[in-house]
Amino acid sequence: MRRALALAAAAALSAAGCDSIPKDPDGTLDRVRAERVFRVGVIAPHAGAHAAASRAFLARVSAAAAAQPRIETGAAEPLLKRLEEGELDLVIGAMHEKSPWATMVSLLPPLAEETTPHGKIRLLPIARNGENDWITLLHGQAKVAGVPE
Amino acid sequence: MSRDGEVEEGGIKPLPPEIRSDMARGRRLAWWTIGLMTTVIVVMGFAAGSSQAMRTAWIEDLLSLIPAIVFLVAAHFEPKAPTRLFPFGYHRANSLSFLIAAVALGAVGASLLIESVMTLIKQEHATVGPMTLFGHDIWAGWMMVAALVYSIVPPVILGRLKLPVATRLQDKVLHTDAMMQKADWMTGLAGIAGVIGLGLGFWWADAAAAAIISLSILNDGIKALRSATAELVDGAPRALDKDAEAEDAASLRHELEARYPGAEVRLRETGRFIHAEVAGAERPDRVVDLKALWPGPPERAWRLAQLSFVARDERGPGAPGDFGS
Repeated sequence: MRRALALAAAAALSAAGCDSIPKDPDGTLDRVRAERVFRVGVIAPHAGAHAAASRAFLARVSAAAAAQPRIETGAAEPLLKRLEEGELDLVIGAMHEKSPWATMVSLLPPLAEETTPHGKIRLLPIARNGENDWITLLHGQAKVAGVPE
Repeated sequence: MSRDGEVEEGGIKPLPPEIRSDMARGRRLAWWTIGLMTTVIVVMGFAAGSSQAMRTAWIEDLLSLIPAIVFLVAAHFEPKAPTRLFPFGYHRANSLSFLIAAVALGAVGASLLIESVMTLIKQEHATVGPMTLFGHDIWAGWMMVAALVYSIVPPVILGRLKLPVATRLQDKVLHTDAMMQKADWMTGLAGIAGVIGLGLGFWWADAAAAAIISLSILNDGIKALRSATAELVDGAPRALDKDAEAEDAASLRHELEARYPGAEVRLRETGRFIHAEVAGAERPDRVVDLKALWPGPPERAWRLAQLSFVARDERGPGAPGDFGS
């Protein structure tokens, strides 16, 4: 009985919320749309092909979210820490896939990559963990603007 | 050590004919469990992605195979005849398997509780992003829900099928296996509620649902662990589903106490069988019909496997080195 009730509740919940799932626990996408601004941290150095790929990606996100990026540049650690704490909505920078940050933030599909003698370096959009609606939007734009899979 | 006053009736027998077909059914159910739960483990492995909660559920699914495996191991040894090195046969293989199964069940409950409480304390927000399926981007949470729905079907069916067989066989390993299946489907439901809750923006939903469910699983595990420990230290026979004296064992104790007034009656359990010891009673005829002694339902008279008459230890029961005189 308990099982049937739980299943029914789950089914009702999923049916009712299908269109609006996933939502952001901290409402990032709703806030971005309401304020028409999203806060971006760009990890320095950032020039050449990386800068061009980032600009193309930000333009796509800007159109999809109907908001303008407010960009600041800085070192990786402080920017990622601020992203984790919700002071930034997005960080763009080169990061190794096995970085210790990989479980603390969400790494999205690469915008550019180059092969160096030390392996591949990927330019990644990085989002705060758990803001799944916002992540879904960024993920979609990164896939279109970024490196073909 | 002297056993002068001891007469053993019944002796060590391989599997009683009355339970052979149920044992075969139990073995089939255990094999089905291993087969179907392996498919669940594969499906969950693919759907887990980077979700830590799903990975924990996956490890729990792996642990959930243990009771079925140890049931099969015990069922393999139990029917074997006694040997010189194992003069009491292998009935206790079932007791050892019960302990292992109980530890596995407790471990599933404990790991689920620890994982979910840590998630709540650290306020970890799980990322479940989109995934591409047949060229379409969908929210990966829906794949997780589909995998979780699949993961609850086999345990619901198998658990239901095992319970009556476990009761007929008085098999605590199979009963613990059924409890593990209950743990599986409850964890699956908690997972579904958690993933949908996550989708609705409640980051704590998954961990909170898992924490509530884990208490029930841990409770089942602790009950089984107490019962399994009691069995291995010659405690009185325990009921299948709780750490209390089994009803049929209590009836047998009363029956023997009535037949041998003034004697001390001790019962213990080796696997599914009861061994009775009467201390300080006059030795009866050399042949005692154990089935006639059994006060419970006749179809379960096989439970009484052995009746021993021993000299009473004048220092009283439980005295150290109480081997008779």
